[in-house]
Amino acid sequence: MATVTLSHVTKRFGGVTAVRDLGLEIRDGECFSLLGPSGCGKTTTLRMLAGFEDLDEGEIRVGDRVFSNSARRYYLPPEQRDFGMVFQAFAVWPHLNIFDNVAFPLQIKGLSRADIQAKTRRALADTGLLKVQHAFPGELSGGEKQRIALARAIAINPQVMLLDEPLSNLDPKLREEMRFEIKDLQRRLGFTIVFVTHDQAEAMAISDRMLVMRDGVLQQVGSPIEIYEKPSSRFVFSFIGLSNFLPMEDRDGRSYVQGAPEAGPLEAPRPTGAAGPTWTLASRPTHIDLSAEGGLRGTVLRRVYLGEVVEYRVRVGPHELRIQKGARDQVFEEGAPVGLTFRRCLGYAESSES
Amino acid sequence: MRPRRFGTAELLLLLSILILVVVVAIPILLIFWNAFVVEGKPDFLRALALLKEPDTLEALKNSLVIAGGTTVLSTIIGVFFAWLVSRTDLPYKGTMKVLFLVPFMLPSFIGALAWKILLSPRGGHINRLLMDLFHLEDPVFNIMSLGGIIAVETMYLFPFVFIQVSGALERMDPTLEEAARISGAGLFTITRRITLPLMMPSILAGALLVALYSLAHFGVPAILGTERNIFIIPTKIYEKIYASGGNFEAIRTGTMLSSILVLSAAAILYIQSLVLSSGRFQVISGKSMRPMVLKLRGLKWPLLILSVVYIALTVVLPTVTIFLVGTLKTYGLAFKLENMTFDNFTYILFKWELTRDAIWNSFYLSLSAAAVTMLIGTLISYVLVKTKIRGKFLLEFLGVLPFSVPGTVIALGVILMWSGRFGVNLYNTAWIIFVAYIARYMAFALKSTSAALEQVHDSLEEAARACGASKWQAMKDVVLPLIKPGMVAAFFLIFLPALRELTTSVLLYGPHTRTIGVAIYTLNEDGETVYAAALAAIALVIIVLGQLLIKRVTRAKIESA
Amino acid sequence: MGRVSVEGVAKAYGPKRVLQDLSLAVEDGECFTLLGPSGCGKTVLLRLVAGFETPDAGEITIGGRLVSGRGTNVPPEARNLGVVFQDYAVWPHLTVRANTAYPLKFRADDAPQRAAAVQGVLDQVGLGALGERYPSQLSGGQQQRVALARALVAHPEVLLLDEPLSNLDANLREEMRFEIKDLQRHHGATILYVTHDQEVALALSDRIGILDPAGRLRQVGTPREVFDQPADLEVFRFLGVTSFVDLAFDGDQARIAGTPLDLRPEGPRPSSGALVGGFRPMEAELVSEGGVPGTVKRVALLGAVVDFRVEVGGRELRIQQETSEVMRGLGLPVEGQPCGVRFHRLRTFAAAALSGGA
Repeated sequence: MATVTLSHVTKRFGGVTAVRDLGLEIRDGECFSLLGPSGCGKTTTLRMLAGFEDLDEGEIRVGDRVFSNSARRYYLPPEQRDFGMVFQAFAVWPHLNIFDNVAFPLQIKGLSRADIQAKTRRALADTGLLKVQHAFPGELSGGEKQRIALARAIAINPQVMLLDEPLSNLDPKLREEMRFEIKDLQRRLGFTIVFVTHDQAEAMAISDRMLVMRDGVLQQVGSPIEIYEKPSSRFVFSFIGLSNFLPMEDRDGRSYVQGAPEAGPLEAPRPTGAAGPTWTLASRPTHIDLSAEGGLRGTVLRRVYLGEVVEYRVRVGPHELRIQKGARDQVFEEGAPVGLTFRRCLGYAESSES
Repeated sequence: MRPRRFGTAELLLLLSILILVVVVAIPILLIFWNAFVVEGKPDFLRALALLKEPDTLEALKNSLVIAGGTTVLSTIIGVFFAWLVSRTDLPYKGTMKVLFLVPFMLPSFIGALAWKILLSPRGGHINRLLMDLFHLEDPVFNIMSLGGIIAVETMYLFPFVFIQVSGALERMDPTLEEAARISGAGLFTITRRITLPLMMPSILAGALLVALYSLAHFGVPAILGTERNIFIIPTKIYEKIYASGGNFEAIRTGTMLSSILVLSAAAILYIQSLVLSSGRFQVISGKSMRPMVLKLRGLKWPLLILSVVYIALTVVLPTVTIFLVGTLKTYGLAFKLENMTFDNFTYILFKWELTRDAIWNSFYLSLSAAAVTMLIGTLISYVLVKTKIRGKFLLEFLGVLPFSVPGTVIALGVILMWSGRFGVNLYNTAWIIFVAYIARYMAFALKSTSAALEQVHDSLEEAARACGASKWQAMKDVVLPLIKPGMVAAFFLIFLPALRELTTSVLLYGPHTRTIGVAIYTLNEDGETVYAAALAAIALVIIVLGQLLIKRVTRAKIESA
Repeated sequence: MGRVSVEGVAKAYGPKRVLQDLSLAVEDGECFTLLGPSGCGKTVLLRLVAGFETPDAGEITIGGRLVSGRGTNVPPEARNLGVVFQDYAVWPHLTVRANTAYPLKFRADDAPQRAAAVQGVLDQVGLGALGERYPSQLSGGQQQRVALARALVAHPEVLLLDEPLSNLDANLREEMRFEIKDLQRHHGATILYVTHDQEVALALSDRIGILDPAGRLRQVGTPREVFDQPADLEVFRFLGVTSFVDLAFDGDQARIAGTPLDLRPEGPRPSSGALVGGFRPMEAELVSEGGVPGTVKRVALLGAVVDFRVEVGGRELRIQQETSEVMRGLGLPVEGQPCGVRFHRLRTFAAAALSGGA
C-alpha cells in the first residue's frame, strides 16, 4: 500500500515557520497536488517527504512504515526511501548519456546487468525515448529532458512519485502535453503522485485531489471541482481563479454594497457562507450578467475586446469589478450605466482575511 | 546594390589591425623567422640540431618536469582546499576563502627569495636551526632543486585551481546531487560518479592555467635553480642572450626555444578551449539553494588547523622573513634587535640611485603602459564588438595571439624587432620595455573592455539616437559612461601585474632602466641579500596598498553605478 | 500629421529575405499593431521605420516627409520619433529625470520649460516622485514607464513600441495596456506597436496587421474584423485556438460525418475541393442527446472552463465550456465516453489550405 500520511508536521527555518501542523493522507494510486503561492511551504513539505529535510515536529509514514519521526529523531535517508523524484530544472546529468541517466538508480541497487538493461529499456519505451538513448542531454530540448527525468524516476517502479514543479520550465503547449503523459504513466504503472505547483490550472487539470496552502497552513483539501465550486475561504476563492469581491452590509433585511448606497440592494438572496451584518460577496467574472436596467447599478469603466470574450471593468461605488462576456453578447459602451446580476456567488464572513 | 562606402568603421578596423600587427604579430613572426630561416632559406634541420645539444635538451626536460609536477601538486592541493571550503562544514569558511587567495597577491619570485633564505642547503636559516637542534651533518631541506622549485611554484599557483573549483562547486545546481541521492546513491558514490565528473572542466581549466604559467615562469627557477645549473626554457633563453652578448647562434637557440614555448602554450590553450566549449557541463543553477554539505565531525578542527598552518607557512613565514632580513645590518647576523635597523629601507627609498630609479621606472612604465593599453584595447574592442564589417575575424585572431605568448618570448621578439632592424633602435631604453608591456598585457585589456562593451546593448545606443542624438553623441553620452568601469578594471588589471613583474623586463633592461623586479633579482644575484630583501619588502607593501586601493575604487564605482 | 506610410519595402539579410514588397499605412492618431510570430519580420519593419536600418527597396514616409527611399535616408535622430524597446533601454547611469529629459537636449527650449515638460510627463506615467532614483532601484514596470515617458516628452508625431510588455508579469501587462491607451489618447500620437501577443494586440489596437512567418501581410483590419472575419485559414488559425471538421454539403444542407447540422456555416463555398469547417473552442458544446457523434478523448478542468479534446470524424477537436454550465448540464464526462457535439458557428475553408502552410 502506498498511502502517504503526514501527521502534525511542522518545520521551522530560523524564526520562520515554513510548515505549520500539517496533517494529510494521500491515498494509494491517487494524484495529489500541493498548490499555493511561492513561499507557502509546499516545496518544503515535498522535501520533508523526500527526506532532504528533517521535521521539527510530527511524523511521516508511507504505508505502515515510519519514514520520518521528529520525536524519535528517526529519519530514513533519501537514498533508502525508494521514491521516484522529478525536479523543476530536470536535474539530468549532462555527462552521462540518456541510457546511463535512466539506468543509474538500477545500477545503485546492484541489479544484474540483464535486469538493468530490461528495466531501463522499459522506462525509455514508456517515455518515448528509446530512439535517443545514446544521445546526451545537452543535445535535447527541455521537454525531452523532462522525459529523461521521468524515465529515471519510474525505472525502479516506485510506489510514490514526487514531482516538484516539473512543468514550470516548459512552454505552455508542451506543459499541456506533458500533463497528459504523466497522467497516462500513472494510469499504466499505478504509482501515487505527490505534485507541487503554483499554477492552479495545472493542479486542477491533473489532480484527483489537491490541497491549497498559504504561509505554511493548509487552507482546503478536496477534489479540484470541490475546491473550485466551494472554496472554503476568500483566499482560496481568489487563488483558484479570477475573482471579484464586494464588501456588503445588511440593512432592513437587504444587502447593500459598502460605500455605494446608490448601487441599490442586491436582488438575489444572500449566498450561503455570508454571516453577520457585514460580509464579502465573491463572484467569478463569467458569473455576472450585465443589463441596461435592474440589478446592482454601476458604470462601465473600460471595455476590452479579447477575441472570444469581451472584458469589462465596471465601477460600483469605490469598487471595481471584472466581468467577462461572450463576443456576441450585448455590448456596453465605456461610461454607460449598467446593471449587474450575480448568477452565482458565494459569501464570506468579513473576518476571513482581506 | 548600394555602393559600399569606406566609412569610419572600416578605418577603425584597419587602424586596429595595424596596431596589433606592429605590436604583437611582427615580434612573434620574427621569432619564428629567426629560428627557422637561415640566410634567407627555411632550415628546420639546423634549428632542430640546436635542440639536441645537451644543455638545451636538459632545459626542456626540466621545464616539463617542473610544469608537470607543479600542475599535479597544485591540482591536488587546490581541489582539496576548494572542496573543504565549499562542501564541508569547516568553521570560518568565509575567512579561509579569502586567505587561500592571498598567495595570488605575492609575486612568486619574492617568495622564492624568502625560501632561499630559509631553506638553502648551506646557509638556510631553517636548515641551520634543524641541524643545530638535532645535531645533523647534512641539511634536511634543499630548496635549490627541482623539487624545491616545484614546491615553491605550487605554493603560489594553486589558487588558480582553487578559484575555478570552489566557484564551480558553489554554483553547481544542487538538485543534480539530490537526484542522485533520491536514486539511492550515498555520498561517496555521488562524489565519485556525479560531482567529480561535473567538476572536471573546472579542474582542467585551473590545471591548464597552472601549466601555462609554470612553463613561462622566470623568477622562481631563476632564483632557485640557476646557481645549481638547473635551467628551464625561460632561464635558458636568458642565459643564452646574456652570456652570448649578441652571438647569432645563441640568439637562434633562444628563438628556437621560444618557438617551442609558444607552440606549447598554444597547444595548452587549444586544449582548454576544447574542454570549455564541450558544452556538456552547463551545471550552473539560477536558484540559490544550499548544496549538500559534508559534516566533518571530529575532523573539523584538525582540518581547520591544517589550513591555517598551510597559510601561515606559505604566506606569513616568507613575508616575515623578507621583512626581518630586510632590517638586518649585515646578512648572517642573528635576528636580535641590536642587529636590526630601518636604515636599509630609507637608503633604498631615498638615497640609492639604483633602487630609486627602479621604483620610479616601474611606476611610470606600468602606469603609462596600463593607460595606453587600456585605450588601444577599448578601441579594438569597440571594433570587435560593435561593428559588423567583414574582416573582423583577422582582428579577433590577432587579439587572442598575445594570450599564448609568454613574457620571455615577447621580450625576445621585441628585441628582434626594435633593435635597429626597421630603422628604430629602442634597445636599452625604457621604450622597449614599454612596447613589450603593451604586447604582453593587450590580451587582458581586450578581455575586460570587450566584456564591458558587450554589456552595453545596442538598444541603449539606439534609444539615444531615437531621442535625437547623432552616432557620436550617443557614444559620448551612453556608451562611454557605461564602459568606464570596464576600462578602469582593465587599467588596474595591467598596472599591478606590470608593477611587480620580472619575466619580461629581465631580458630588456639596461643600466638605467631597471624595474623593481629586475632590481630585486640583480641584487640577489650580486649577493646583496639584505638589500634585495628590503626592496622586496617595500615592493610587497606597495602591492598590498595597490590592491586595497583598487578594491576601494571598484567598490565605490559599483555603489555609485 | 503623424501618418506613416510604407510602400513596397523589402529587406534581406544575406540570402534570407525577411520582407518583400510590404505596404501599409498607419493613419494619423491611430494605434496600429503589427502582429506575427517571432522571426516574421515585424521588428525589422519597425527598425526600418525608426531608421536604424535602411530598406533594400521601397519608400517610407512619416508625416508626409520622405524618410527612406529614392536615395534619401534620414537618420533616426532627425525623424522626430519616440521609441520604446523591448528591454526598455533605460540608461543605468542616469537618473529617471535625466533619462526622461534627454530628448529635450536637442530642442531649443530653455531650462524652465524643459523641467516643466519632464515633470509633467513623469507625473503622467505615475513616476512624479521618483525623478531622482536610478533605474536599478526601480521595478521592471517602473523602468518601462520611464521608457514611455522618455519617448513622449518631446511630443513626437509617431510612437514606435517593440514588444514593450513581454518582460512584465500578467497583472502588470494589463495595467500598462491601459496606461498606454490613455497616454495615446492624451498625446494624440500615432502608435505603431509590434508584438506576437494576440491578447495585447486585440485589446490595444484600432487596427491590426497580421504578418505571416514569410513576412507577408495577410490581413489588415480592426480587431473584430480580423478575429471574426479572417481573410483566410492562416489568419484564422493564427488567432486563438482553432479546430476543424470535415464538411460535406448536400445542396444547402451541411453535414459532418453524415449527420446533418442545423446551422449554416459562414464563408465561401467553392464548387470543387473538399471543405473543412473551422471554429473556436467556445463555439461548440457537448450535448447528452443529439448533435454530431464523437468520443471524448480528454477532459481537463482549467478552473473557470473545462477543456475537452473530442474526436469527431477522425479529427481531434478542442471544445471549451464554462465549468458551472458543464456541472449543471451533462456533468463531467469520462475519457472514452461517447458524446454529441453541437456547433454554434462554423467557417468554411478549403481543406487543401489546412494541410499546406505553417
